[in-house]
Amino acid sequence: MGGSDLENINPTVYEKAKEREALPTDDDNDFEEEFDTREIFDLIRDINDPEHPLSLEELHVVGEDKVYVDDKLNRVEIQFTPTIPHCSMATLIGLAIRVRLLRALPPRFKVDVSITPGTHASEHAINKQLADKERIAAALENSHLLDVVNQCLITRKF
Amino acid sequence: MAASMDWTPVIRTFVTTDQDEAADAILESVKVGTTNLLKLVEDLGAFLTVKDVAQRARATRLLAEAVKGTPHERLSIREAEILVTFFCERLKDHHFVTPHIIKGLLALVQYPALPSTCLSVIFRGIFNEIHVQSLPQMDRRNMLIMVWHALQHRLPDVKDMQSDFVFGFIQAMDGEKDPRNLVIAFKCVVTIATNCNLGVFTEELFEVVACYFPIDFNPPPNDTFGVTKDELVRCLRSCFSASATFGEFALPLLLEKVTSTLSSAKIDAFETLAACAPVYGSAALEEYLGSFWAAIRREQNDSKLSDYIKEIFQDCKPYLQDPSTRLSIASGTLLEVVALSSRAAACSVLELSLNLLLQSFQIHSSNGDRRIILQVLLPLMKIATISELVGDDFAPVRDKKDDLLSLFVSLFADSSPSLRTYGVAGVIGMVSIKKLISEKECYLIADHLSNLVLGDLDESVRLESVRSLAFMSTQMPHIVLEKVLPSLTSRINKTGSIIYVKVILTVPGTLTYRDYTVYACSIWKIGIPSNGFASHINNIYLLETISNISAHYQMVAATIPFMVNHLKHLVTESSLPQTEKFTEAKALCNCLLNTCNANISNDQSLDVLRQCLIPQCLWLAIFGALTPTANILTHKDIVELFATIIRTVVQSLPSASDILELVVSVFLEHKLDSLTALTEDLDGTNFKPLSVDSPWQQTQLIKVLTAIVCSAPENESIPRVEELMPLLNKMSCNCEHHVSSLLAAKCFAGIVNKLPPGDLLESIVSSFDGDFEKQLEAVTSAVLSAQQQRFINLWTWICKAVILRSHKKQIHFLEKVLEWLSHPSLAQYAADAFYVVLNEYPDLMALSQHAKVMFLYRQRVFVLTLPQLKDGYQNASADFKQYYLSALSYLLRFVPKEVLKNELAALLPLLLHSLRCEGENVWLASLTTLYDLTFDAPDAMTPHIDDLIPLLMTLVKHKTNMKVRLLSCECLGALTTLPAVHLVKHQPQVVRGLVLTLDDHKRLVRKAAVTARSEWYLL
Repeated sequence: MGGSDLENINPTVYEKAKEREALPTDDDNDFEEEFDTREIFDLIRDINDPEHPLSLEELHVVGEDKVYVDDKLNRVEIQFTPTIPHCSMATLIGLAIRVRLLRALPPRFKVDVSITPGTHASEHAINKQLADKERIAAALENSHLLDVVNQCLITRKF
Repeated sequence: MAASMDWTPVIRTFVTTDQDEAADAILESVKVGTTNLLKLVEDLGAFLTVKDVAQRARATRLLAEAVKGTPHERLSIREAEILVTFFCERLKDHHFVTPHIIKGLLALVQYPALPSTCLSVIFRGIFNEIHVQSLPQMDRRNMLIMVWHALQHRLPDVKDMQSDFVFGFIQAMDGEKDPRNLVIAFKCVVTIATNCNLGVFTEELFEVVACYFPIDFNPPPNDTFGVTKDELVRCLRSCFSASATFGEFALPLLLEKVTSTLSSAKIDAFETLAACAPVYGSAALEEYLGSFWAAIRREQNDSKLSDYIKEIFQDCKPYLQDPSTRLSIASGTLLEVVALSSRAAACSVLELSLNLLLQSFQIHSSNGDRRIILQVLLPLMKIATISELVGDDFAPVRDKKDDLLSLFVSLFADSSPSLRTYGVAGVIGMVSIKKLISEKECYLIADHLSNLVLGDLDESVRLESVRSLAFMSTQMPHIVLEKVLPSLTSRINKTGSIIYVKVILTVPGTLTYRDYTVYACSIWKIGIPSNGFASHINNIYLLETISNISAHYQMVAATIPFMVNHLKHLVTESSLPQTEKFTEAKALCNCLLNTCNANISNDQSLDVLRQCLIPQCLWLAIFGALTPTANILTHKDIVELFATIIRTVVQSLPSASDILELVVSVFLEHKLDSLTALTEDLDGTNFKPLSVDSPWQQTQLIKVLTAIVCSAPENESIPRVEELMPLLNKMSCNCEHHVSSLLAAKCFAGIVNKLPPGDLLESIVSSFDGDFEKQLEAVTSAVLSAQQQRFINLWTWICKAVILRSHKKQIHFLEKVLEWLSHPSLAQYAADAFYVVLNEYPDLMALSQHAKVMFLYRQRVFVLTLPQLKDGYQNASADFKQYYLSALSYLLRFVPKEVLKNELAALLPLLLHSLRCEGENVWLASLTTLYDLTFDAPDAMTPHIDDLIPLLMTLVKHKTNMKVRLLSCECLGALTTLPAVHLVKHQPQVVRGLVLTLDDHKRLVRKAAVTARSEWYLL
């Protein structure tokens, strides 16, 4: 991919989900709340797409239906769908999701990030990369790559 | 004799001080002739040449005013000559003095016997010595009046001055900007151009006015001078047409303006041309005829514009035909903007695109494509609603009306909820275009919409339909009343009997509640509920819908009695379980409130609400208190809602005297006659809401009393207030029911705030002078008696009342509160009092209730208490520090941060210290303040980062209160907005420390921790 050319010039933009509904028990210190799919989805839906000024949610790269969580067994699984089957950004998107969850989830969770089956040409290679802890750690040592990932994770709330 | 009177001392007073009235005697004496002007000049003597500019100016002013005041017959020619010479010699004087000289000269120019030589001296002097445009507006105006007067009355003399006068005048008015002056200047130009020989200055004179063409002037709002754009345009136009010699300069200018892009400029240019043509004559016009004709033709058929639009449309066409190109919406926006530019453009665009869009809608059948076409179509149709742009009868939409309407109506049955929503929006868009949809069609539309409201399974479709019906009820209430209301009300589930009354379809001006009820029942023509409701149809939904579509006074007049009656029916006859009854009653009250809020800005609706809703609410509240079976009406939420409804209406009324009379008599007399006359029978002998021994169901109704007496318009006096106040005072101090005693205290304070200044107010406020010690002398133990607590509450609220209105006793009340801070059993109350005083309550003593709230009262409290709070904190023992801190935190929270800037350096360490002390409430107050300060005063916060972070890291682990954890996380997040240089060294500590909080058992805390931690990672 050369220069500033975008791979997918005209992506389809979808609506964002509404904010999570507030419940009366939200403010009750004695009421315990487990991690659920919506909470995990809320953690990753605002991640910026590396190419477009849009969030992964707006591009349907991630969706609540592709999030699996089991609080008791400490498991989180995410599948994401690249916008086009040859997207060279897929690895970067996967990495961004991983890093985001690394920072936002308690360490007790085992997190799996993979590509939705059948949506990318080199699905297996990328899945393998994303599952390899050492490669992830090494990637984050690379300050240039870390910068790019951080760009995806900036969501100024203030 | 008076003539020999020596004015020197008076003159000295006038000249050396600011006492303008000192000169009155002199001016009077000059006017009647006992002092002559030359004598005055002599007396003024040295002052006219004194070195001090201010004094010289005052002396000159006195002389000018004297000249102005002298009747013309008393002024001799010789005197006038001397004065002219005197003033003209001084034209070069300081700019403080010139205005008075001009005034003097103006008076002299108006002297009919003034020799023509003098006149010429004056104008030569002014034009040569003064740079007119650097004078203030008033003096320029005087100068112009001088010229105008000379032109009116001394034209031959002016003509003698020839081109000197013309040139001088051109220079004097060149650059004038004030519209008031321009009106005079333009008049002068007309006279000069018609009468004087302009010679070489023709072009100059034309240019000096031509630069104002075309006039672009909008008088400022609340302008009192009355100069209008029209007046300026007329005056300027008569300048243009004043002389045939202007022709050669004016015609090119007008030609340029008729081709302008601004239509107002075009119109002005054509009108000016029409006014000038007869003056300039055919010879002058001949040269330009061709060009003007071309311009006129262009205006007539605007063929260029339509070609241009066709070109744009051709480019957009493929995208509009094929929504999958994803450029349809952008093309639609482009066409919309083009159409908004003029009526002709709107016509062409809509003619071209409506047809095309209708066709492509039929071709494309996928929901996505159709949605995009509708997204283009609806905004384009909206253009037809802008009647300023397209007028009332807009052909392009009218021609396609049937196609459009059937398209939208067909969408009502579509399977996609979003297309149904577009259908509703489209139909209502068409209804909002003037004179497009006939009455008969509106009936059909209303029918369709009410079917959607009742039958559609998708919430957003129902919502859009309700909104559309609300719009229809503002435009054509009779249709909604006839078609929609009956189908809603008939579905409301009730077992009671239904009254059928003959239809009356008008609402006369003043009706009693009974009339309204009859009227309301008459129009519902309530039928038998049909079966097969959609699952969302329940009473609450129906009531909410009824409330939401009540957007016109005729609607309000029908729906309010219905809702009130339903509420009565619900509490008295319904067999629903208690909890369901309560839920529905509460929803009903909210519907009433919602209807009030939506309609109080309309005078007619407000009148209906006042006559028909307020007495009913009052009645219901009292009925609940007196009738054990109607006890859901005594629930605090319902009473609160009644009070809110009443307050919402009363605070909007221009006058509430009848309601005040009513409520005061009901609360004082144990008789309800005046109320039941307006509503229904109710025996009120046992109703004693202001008696200490009454049951709480009655005493809590003080809330309703407060809602009326404390929300009435500012100038409205409360009847029998001298009887009311002692009772409220007694209730607040002695009533055992805690809520009622607090309500009485608030009502008492609210009235104190509103009372007009006078004896009553003073006696009430000073009645507390000795009381305090008396009430609290027995306070020795750590726990206050209930009575003492009540007294403290009363004191706190009165303190707020007097501070808000800035009564002189405020310091007395505030000082006591400060004293409590060091008292073991009172300190907590004192800290809370700060909250009460500084906080704004929507239901009491707010500006919306016409309370007396003095500007900057929080700043005043800040200044009055800060030194003592700081000292107190420093000297207090460890047990008391927290109370000082919470008082301080409240101060910091409510006082505008700009005021704090100077004090922050001293206060921040105290706030930080408070995070080390015990006390969740203090923490919460301090954390909120710190959070705000991080954004409002980052510079002050930066030096404290190193101290703050460890404190926050401890508080995020505070187990027992999630608010503390939440706020600490938010503070940590907010800190990342400060300069990163100061933060980086804490990054590892914060990132590590928040790991545990990521696994907090409360989701909100986790979320805040995630946000904060991510921000810290990104530093």
